[in-house]
Amino acid sequence: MENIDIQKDQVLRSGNEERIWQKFCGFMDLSIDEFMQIQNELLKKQIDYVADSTLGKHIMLGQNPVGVDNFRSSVPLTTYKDYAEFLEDKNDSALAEKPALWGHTSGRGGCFKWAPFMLRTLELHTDMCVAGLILACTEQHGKVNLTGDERVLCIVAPPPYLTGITNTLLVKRFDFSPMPPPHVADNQDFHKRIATGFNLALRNGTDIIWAVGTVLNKLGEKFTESSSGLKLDPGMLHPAVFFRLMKALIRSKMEGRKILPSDIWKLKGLTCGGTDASVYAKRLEHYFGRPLHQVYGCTESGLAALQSWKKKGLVFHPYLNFLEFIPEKELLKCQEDAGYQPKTVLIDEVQVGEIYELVITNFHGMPFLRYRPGDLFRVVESDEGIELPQFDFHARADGLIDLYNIIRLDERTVWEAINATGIKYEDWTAMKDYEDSWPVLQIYIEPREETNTDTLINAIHHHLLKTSPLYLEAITENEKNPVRVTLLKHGTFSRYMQQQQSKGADLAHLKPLHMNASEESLKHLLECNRDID
Amino acid sequence: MNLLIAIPLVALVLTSLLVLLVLLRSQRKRGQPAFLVFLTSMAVWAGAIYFFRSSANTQIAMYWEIVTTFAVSLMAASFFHFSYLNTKRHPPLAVPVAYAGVAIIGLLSLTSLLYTGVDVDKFGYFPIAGPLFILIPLHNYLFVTWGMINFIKGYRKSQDLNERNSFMLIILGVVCFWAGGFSDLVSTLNNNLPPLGLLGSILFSLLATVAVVKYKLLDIRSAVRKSTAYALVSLLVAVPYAGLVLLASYYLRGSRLEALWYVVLFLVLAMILQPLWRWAQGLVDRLYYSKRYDYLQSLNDFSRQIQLFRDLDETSNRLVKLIATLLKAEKVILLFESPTQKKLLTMASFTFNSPGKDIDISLSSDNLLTEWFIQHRRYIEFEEIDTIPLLRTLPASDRQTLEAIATKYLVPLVSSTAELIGIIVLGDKQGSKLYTHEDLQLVISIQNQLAMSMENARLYRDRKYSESALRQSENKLRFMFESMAEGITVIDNRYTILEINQAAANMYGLHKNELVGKPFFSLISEDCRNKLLLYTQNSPNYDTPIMFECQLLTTQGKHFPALLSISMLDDQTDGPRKYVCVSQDISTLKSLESEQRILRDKAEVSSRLASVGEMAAGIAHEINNPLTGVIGFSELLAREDLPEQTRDYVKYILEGSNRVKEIVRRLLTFARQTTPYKTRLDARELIDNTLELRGYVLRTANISVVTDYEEGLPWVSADPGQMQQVFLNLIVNAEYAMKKAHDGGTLTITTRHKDGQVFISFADTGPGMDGDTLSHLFQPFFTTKEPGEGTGLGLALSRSIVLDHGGDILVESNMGTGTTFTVRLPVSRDEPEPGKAGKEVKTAVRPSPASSSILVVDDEAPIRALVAKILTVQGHRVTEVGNPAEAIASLQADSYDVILMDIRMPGMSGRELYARLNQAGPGIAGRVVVITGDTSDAGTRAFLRENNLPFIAKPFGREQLLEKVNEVLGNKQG
Repeated sequence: MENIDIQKDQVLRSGNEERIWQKFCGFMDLSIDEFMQIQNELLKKQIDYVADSTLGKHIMLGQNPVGVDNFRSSVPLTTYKDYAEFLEDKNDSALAEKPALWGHTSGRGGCFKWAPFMLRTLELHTDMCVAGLILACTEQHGKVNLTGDERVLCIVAPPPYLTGITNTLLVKRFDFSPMPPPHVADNQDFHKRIATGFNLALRNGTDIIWAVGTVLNKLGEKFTESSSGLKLDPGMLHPAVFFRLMKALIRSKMEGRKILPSDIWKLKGLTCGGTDASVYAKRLEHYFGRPLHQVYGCTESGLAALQSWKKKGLVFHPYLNFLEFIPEKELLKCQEDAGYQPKTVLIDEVQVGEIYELVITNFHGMPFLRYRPGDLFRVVESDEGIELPQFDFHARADGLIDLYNIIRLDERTVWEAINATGIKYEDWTAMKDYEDSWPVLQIYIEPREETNTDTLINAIHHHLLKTSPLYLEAITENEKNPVRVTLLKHGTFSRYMQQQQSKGADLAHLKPLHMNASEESLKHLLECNRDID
Repeated sequence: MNLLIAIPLVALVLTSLLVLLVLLRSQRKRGQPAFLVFLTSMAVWAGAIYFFRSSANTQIAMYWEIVTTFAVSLMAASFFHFSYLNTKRHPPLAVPVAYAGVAIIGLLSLTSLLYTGVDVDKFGYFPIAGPLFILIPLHNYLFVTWGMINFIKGYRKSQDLNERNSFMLIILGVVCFWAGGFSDLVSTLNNNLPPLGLLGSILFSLLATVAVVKYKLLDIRSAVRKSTAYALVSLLVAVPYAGLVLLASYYLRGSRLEALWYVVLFLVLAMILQPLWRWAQGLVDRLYYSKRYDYLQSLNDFSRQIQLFRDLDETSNRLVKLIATLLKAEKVILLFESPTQKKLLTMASFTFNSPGKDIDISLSSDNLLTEWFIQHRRYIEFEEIDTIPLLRTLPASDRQTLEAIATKYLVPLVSSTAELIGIIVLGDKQGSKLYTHEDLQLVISIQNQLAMSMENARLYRDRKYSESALRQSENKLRFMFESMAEGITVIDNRYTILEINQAAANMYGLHKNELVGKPFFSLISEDCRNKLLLYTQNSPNYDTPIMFECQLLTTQGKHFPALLSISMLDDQTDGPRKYVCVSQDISTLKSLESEQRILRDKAEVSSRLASVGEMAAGIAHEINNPLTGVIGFSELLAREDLPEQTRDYVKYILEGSNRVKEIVRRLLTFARQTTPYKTRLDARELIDNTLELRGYVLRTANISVVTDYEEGLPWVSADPGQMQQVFLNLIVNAEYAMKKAHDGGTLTITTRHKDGQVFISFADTGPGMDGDTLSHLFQPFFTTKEPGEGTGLGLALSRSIVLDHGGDILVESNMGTGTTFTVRLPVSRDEPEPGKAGKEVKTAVRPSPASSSILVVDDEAPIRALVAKILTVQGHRVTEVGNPAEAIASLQADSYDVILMDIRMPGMSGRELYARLNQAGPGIAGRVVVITGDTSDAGTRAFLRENNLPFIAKPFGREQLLEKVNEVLGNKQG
């Protein structure tokens, strides 16, 4: 990445608030017509650009569609397997232009999904990351509290994951000083990286934290759990660390509570992405004293959407991808007929309250066309001052558990139900199972405290009854409690992770998916459970 | 309350308001807390001064003096701190030192080291300086000045216009502070002078606040410029006005003229104020802008002149040069919308350092930048392409192009019809300076004018192109109009010719100019006129032209057939209707049609003839065989001693048979036209020979023959036999006609030659023929003769023969006068062959040798019997066989002197038999005589010719048979 000739940004350092807002967050001020203008213009250029490339011809079936409608009607929807043969080998020659670099994300079954990144995409992607930081640090439209000199605690995956690449590029483009610095973090495993970053933040202070939601939650939990008895260790003897801890301790004592991360750092902004971010939002705000600012992105799309300054719905920006949405009704048709090509709508056609699956077509020579990353979004009411539609991340398309053909439980719903029991747990995974031909929601959970299975089952069941009308309807009709809980022994997930790490598994495969983990993962998990005395 | 007490109160209120303003409106940026401390301490200082000066007693005054001292020191320190933060530099240790100084001064002010006490003067309380008083101004001015230096450094380093402006405001504020502070210092030293430092401080805080809150509000330079202009005018007006008022009050006081004078002065002032203002403004502009002022004047002149420029290139070149000079730009490029491509192409460019070097770039115009420019019509800084959302879609290639030429600004030229005509690309300012607000204001002010001027020039150019294109189109259409082979006539609703092309003029036989204005009806037949009227008056559907054949007239009155098409001319005007008449002279077409009809008829005739011929050949062959027997035996019978009546009967049988024979012969001749064996002959000789043959009959028919031969008649190339047949036929027909009509007459035969053709005419004085007869004359089997008098084949055959010779038979006939048949033949190109024209050579009959052995091979028994009888009577031994197999067997068994064989026999043809005979021995083949029923058959003739075989044609007589047999026998002997 040292050789990437990415342009240094001049705007953020200029201090010109108006210009900074306009460049990074100005897309939120667009009217829907302007948004579509940009989308159509960039799509037109993208089609012309990739039509002659090998991969472009393969995906567009040799056609060169003219106009948006023609493109949508003539190019089928795609998934990664349509690109695998070209991208798994990192075949530059199949692309419209030589990429600046290749990145990957984890696919199912332990393999990687490689994606090329063009220079312009990287520039815009990092611009949107800065936009995320600006929006995380402000509650007012147009106010830019970011100077570029902030200390940022970054707990993200290393390159060639996109987050790791982004970290390095932010340094190159904006002279950011993340903690830990990329040249240190990239050579450490995830846990070490967290520890290093945390220590640096304790020593130097931090203005912004950018991390994965679960990590932040764990950080907060660890603080509250361990701060009741503050144990001195050599690291704490550093004057700055000591000062910070003391200040935090005094404050917490004065308020009669445990130390929170917000006692140690007065953050300007707290930002994270991931499906679990919204689950922990309130909790993280409590821990860190700043409302959580969420973003959405994936390797194939780059950073695609950001919450506004009000920290509510996600707003998609128009610069990296042409956006289409598959309505839920169309998704159900796909379930009935695997060969069915669902119809899509554009962003100016989505309806508030409806759920859609995202379809993206990259711009700037990137390869993914009418690509389904597999993420579902619900349209929410737009904030005042924003004309564009806003969304909430709903679930992964493959992260749904269907019961009785009525209930569709997503990860957040199950998570919230587990959290609502009040139980402390290490981790969990859930899937659909059958008992005497009846579908059940089977949850495997590793509690950190003694608990009773039935109590848990009832608590989860009642929470779902209370919060999900469809669940209530289905249960009333069928008169059965479909929740099943299997308690795992303490250390199961840890053992699983260790074994995965020793096998050299990637970060995303260190634990089973929360929803619909593969049989292999489940089998491994249960073996780990069995092996624990 | 005196002024010096009121001023601090005003300052307090003002600075308090400024604090609120900054809190509410300022952007939260670095240094804001420090600036708020600065403003707050300014407010506290002002308040403290007010309370100090208006204190009730010295103790209270002293207390407020401490507050004042502390506040002003804090103000200086916080300003110093602010100077680092606002210029984005990290505060050094000097900042805490400055704050430490505040603390020290604050502490010292509690002692009498800074102030020994306070006193009162006409301005209120004032402090009495202590031994360490100097620390206060030292601290304050040091850090304020240091802060000012930071801002000066920031100003020089900054590349942002607005930021530089804000720094300039602050620097100016510091200067005001300095001035006020100096005044305070002097006042402290000299109590007679009022302390006006607070005024300076007010200005300082005001300017600094504006710089922080909204520096764009106030462009300091233009503010100074405007202020100077106002001051100058005020001075110029106020001074004379005041002087005149003073004079009036001195000299006219108390008099009635005083009031009048004041009124007059006022009126004069009102009149001269505006022109005076303009003059002052101009003076100031000249003073501030010097060269630029001149250029502004040049620009005004240019703007006036630009309206006159028609040449787009010239306008563009002058424009870029002027803009570059006005704005001191490194480079200026004018991009213009291409009418044919979706691009903005370089129209003109100017580079300051390389005036002659042209920059040639292009940008795509089919993008959102164009739309944005049309919507907003304002210039953009190049960096804004990366900040304005809609402009971030600009293609990377365009972005790179602009970056490569160090673009600073893009100024759109948008027409009044909301079209992007072009873009002015401005490079950096010369000497790496920044464009000022005034520069950009200039750009804005000339932008619209430039757009209008370029639009005018473009319209002018487009008009020229359009005119040229229109002219070319018109010329092309005119050329097409004139060069069309069809005649085109445009007429109005009164049928007067408005336009006409050359082809039509040629058709009508007059010059175009002479035809324009003529009535079209004078050139068309009545039938045509009626159809035209029908169309023009009744036709509801003018999209469909009508087309019909009619007769047109030349101006000489000659008719010619034409195809006329009429349609309405839709020239998109509201004037009277016009029609387009397209005429096509179809005379040639008609003539060709007629020829085709003739050829078709000929072909039909030939086809019928061929059919007849085929039928005739078949019939003829069938008839000849039995006829041979009838004629032969009749001849034999005639030689017998018969009763007279029987002899007569035999004679009738023989005559009838011979007639049938003749008919069959003619039929065969007609059916199987042999390829003429042409030879060069003198037609006159052939005519004479033919007349010789028919001479007796003509004489007896009372027909006189008159010949009129042209001298030196060229020879013709013809088959003498066939041609004689033709002449004979014509003579016989003439003879018949005259005999029937008048029982005699005159046959005139003339020969002429002309244009390579020889004309032989046979003119009779018969009754002539009507048109109907003439039209059927050459049809086969058509005859005017009584049944039995003619076959109706003669003329058909004759014509066929003559046509084969490349000629024709022409007929002229008048009822009651007679008919003339003229045979036209082409003149021969070959050398003459003497002695061959028209003479029949008879071969003498040699006496027969005695008792030869003769084999007769014929499948017809009567023929065998006849031949055997005739030959046996002559003393020959005759063997008869009925088929070729028997013939071969006989030849093997015996030898024969003559072999008479039929050419057509079942089982084996004569050819094959002959071949077998040849194989048997060459001598045998030489003794063969062929009996054939059809010598006109080409195959038979070829066989005979190839093998040089003698032959007898059926039906034959005794003499013919004996002659041929004796010939063969004679040859054998010889």
